[in-house]
Amino acid sequence: MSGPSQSAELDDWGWPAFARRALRSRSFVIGAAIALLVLAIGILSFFWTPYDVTRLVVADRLQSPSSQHWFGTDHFGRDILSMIMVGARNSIAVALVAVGIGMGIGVPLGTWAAAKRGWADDVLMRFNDLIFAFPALLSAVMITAIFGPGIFNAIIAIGIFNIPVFARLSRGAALGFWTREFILAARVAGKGKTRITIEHILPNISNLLIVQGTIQFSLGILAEAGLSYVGLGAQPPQPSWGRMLNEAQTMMSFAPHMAIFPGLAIIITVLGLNMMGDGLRDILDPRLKREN
Amino acid sequence: MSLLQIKELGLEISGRPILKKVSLQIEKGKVLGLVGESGSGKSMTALSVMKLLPEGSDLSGQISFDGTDLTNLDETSMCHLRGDDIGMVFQEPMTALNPLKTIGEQIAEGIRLHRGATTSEAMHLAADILEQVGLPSDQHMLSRYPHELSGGQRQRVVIAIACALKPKLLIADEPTTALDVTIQAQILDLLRTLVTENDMALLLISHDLGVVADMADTLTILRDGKVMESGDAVDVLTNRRHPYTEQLAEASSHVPERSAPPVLASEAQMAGIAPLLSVDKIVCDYPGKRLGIFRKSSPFRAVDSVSFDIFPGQTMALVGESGCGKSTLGRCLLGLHRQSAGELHFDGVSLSDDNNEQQTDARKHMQIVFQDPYGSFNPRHRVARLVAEPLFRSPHLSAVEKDERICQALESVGLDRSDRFKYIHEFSGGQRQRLAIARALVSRPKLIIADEPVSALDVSLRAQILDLLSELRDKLQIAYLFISHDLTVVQAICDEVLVMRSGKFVEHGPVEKIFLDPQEDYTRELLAAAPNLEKYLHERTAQTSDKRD
Amino acid sequence: MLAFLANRLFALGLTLLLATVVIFLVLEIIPGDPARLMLGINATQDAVDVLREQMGLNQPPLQRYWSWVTGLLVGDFGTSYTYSVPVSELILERIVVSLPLALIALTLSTLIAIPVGIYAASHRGRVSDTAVIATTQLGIAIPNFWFALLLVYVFAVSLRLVPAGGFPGWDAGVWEAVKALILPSIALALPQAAILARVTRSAIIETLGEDYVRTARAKGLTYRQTLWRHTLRNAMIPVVTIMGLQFAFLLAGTIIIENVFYLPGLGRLVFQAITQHDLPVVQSVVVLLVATVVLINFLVDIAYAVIDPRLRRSVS
Repeated sequence: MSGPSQSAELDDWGWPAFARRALRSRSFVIGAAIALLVLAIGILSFFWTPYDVTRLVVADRLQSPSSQHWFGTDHFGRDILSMIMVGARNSIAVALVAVGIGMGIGVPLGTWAAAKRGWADDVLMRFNDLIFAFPALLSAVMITAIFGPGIFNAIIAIGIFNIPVFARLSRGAALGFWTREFILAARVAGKGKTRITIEHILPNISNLLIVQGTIQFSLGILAEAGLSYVGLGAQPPQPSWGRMLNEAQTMMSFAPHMAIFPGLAIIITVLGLNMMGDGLRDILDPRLKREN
Repeated sequence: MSLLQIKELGLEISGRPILKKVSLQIEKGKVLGLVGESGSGKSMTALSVMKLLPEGSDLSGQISFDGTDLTNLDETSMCHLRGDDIGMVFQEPMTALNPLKTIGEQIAEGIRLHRGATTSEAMHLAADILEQVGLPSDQHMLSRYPHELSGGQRQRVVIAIACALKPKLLIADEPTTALDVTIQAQILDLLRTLVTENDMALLLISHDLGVVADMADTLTILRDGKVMESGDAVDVLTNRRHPYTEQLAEASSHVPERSAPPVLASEAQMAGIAPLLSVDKIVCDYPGKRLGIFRKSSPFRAVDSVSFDIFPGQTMALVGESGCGKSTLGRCLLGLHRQSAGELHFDGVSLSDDNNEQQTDARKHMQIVFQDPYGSFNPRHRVARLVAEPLFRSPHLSAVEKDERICQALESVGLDRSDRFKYIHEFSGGQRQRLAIARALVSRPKLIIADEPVSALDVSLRAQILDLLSELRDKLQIAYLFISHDLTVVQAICDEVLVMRSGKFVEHGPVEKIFLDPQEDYTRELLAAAPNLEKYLHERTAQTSDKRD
Repeated sequence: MLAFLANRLFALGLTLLLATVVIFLVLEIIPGDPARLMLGINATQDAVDVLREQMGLNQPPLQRYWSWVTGLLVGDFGTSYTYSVPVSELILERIVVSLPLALIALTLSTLIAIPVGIYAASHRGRVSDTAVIATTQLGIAIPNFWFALLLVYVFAVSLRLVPAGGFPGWDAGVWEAVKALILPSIALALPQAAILARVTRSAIIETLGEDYVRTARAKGLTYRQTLWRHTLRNAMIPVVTIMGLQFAFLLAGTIIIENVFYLPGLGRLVFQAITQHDLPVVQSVVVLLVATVVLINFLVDIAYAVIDPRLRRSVS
């Protein structure tokens, strides 16, 4: 008896309904606000930062937070707040492009395997197993080390590991839809597999993809920080949250602020994205909300 | 005093009223049928008695069971009652058992809990009760897991769990709705036997008046959380004093009017009319399940060399129990499943060859209506786009022509032109089924394959949709292949019947002949098992008058 | 069950074989000549050629692959370019740091996460549940190396309870060695525990909504009894899956954490080997880690079959 009303809720689609539910989800509102703030800061850093991050002022080095330097300065006298602002755009860019690579390759692969079944499906799943067998971080280290450290290679390394994530997700979801009656109706109407995938499957799995995209985005930010921390991501003088932590490590005992603020920047950004992802999941799939 | 007495029961879930002053009573050892359409609150009444309501429920009124007021009883005392004095059987046997525990463990659990029995004692009792529900212990039932049993067997296990301690009251919530008719008849028989042997009272919840007419002593009819009528089952159903009772009873044995006589194959052949669809020795296989990397089990033959014709304007029924291959056959005709062998001709064109233009053109005259009104539409598209889907094969139509076709289709199923701008969630189940029919009509088909088109609908909606299908047939000269497990529906609307079992046709003939004079045992078995309101009422009135004499 | 095992074993072998091919190919395309790198840019071409011959670099790739893989099977991992000792020796020396670290971290994470997850699920919607959700949400967002820095600052630099880094070796006594692993394993474990606790919680909540839980309640079981007898085992499947993934992640995660704490483990070994183009070491450690991951997946599959009777018969 709960069946029909529940499906009716699931079917409730369209922007007004989405916006109404979105504003009701506290998790989404807070998460999205944080994500937008980080994005705004990243964009702002192109035009303005409190101090120039490329200028080294040895006289001002290792200052604790003050009214001049809210987050203090590093061992070269650079303003940490300014560096975090510039670092934001670096993190966002890496994670965004990595998610783009994962979605751009993974989703077509996954939906193709679901439509085709048979050998294509088998090959894709084996390929997925293979990639999942390599610990992602280890392989990222390998890739960046082979092709040289740098932001571009970091993006590729993180992006490659997003491919099987999206391939697997979209395959599973698409397989579920291929047996649904509205897909059968489209097949009776004579539509081909590609057309059905574009017209019916993709719009229906987009919810899942958006939610997973948010999660992978936040994982991408963590991965970029990790790679930069071990020296394989952004190269000097490009400021990056991970590299700032690396430089802070040796100064930990007398300048802990050098580690605390970039770390907080990472945590707040990731937290915001995760909250946004959870909120989105609740909004887009009321069935899951009941279970949480 | 009644065993169970419910007085002015009210229930709100998260502020939404579900039950409004429901009163009913069950006498010791008697069967109460609780009838209603979906959303009437009949399941919630049962869960109120068990006090297993969802979170956010607010209960008012009084439930007294065997002299105890349940409304004020604390959770610990309720736990003592549940499974001991009150047992409950649920609708869906496939999910009602824990997949990770053996049958024996699951039956013994309640016995140990309430009787403090040791494991071996409880297992002995479990074996006994399994024997009683028709699952003899020589088949190692106790150590089997639920996935090793069929749906009917699982329902027997659920009944065994509920009846293990011989409760005073057994609540059965649509216990046979998910089962085939022959299994349904067996399960109902079992319930009847258990109730008589153990002197239990039974609260039988059902949407099916036929089932209730067969089983119940007294009857309560619910609608939108309110009691419409209650009283002696035969009396209520025979005299139909309340308009809603009348409406339900009429709908459940509704026969649509028809203007034209039935189209019969023998007559059509004599008149020299060519068949619209001709199926010749069709075979459909499902590939075997993969057992290993190099091993596959042998393919499963779902449809085994069947042949039949459908003539223009004819309504052909395809009946059989679940898994008999009827849906696969339907899908094969539509090209959704490739046949392994055999020939298909539709409208003079062979559909067996690979795609060609003729075939594409022919195929647009064959459409489908599915069972589930909720899963049949892409929730992301507007009605106009959904209904227009079959026009994909008619690319020459202009946008204006397409729009006109959509409007015509909507109007012919009783919907409004303006509905085409809405999304599917704005429609009710019955309206969605009308939309599904509109979608099938839009390409002006000659044959519609209807796969259980009314099975998911409540009886009153079912009657309306049957009327609509019948009216369209008379008006547009459409032929139907009507796939169904429900013989009442088939009898109401079809010209000829194909009875299918294990991939083969058992019997084929005009509907009158099949229903009045079945030749095969299996057909007779199906007919006998199908719940039939009029038949049961007739039988029971006869019984009572016999007694009086 | 036997067919199930055989089938999984075959898949395991296949994945491993493919993995060796991938690793070999990837390292094959690394720019730069290892011989030249070892000798430095001032070495003569002749010296480089001699070394190339010695290292077997002049053989065709297929032959090199073959001798590498057959070597792996008999435990011959080759000789390190930089250290000039057998790679197997290097690995043995380092694995006694990394493996205990990953195991302690996994144990810690499981011991924290599962009780917390069960507690939150059984108190769904209450304040304590909300607090668990918020804490785990935060835990997932914290990068483990930053958390490690913080732990070092508080417990090693300020409170001086444990060493800030380095590893005395197991010869220095078990307690001394374990003491050096405490902070690294906490840094690795806590963020993982946050993930696992959330998975446990939602798996249990999902299972609580199943029909058979209602059947159990109708039998007369209390809420708590249904939770323990009918929910936990059913909820374990996603939990075991995540635990398997986490062990792999923990092994790889040591690369970064070992850098924070200056631990001489596998992570640091492979990290240094990559920067020094020490191919035999890189190849071997990566194969070893991949083999571990594949083996864990195999164990997880077996765990599924132990939990769920439905899987004992069918294959996938």
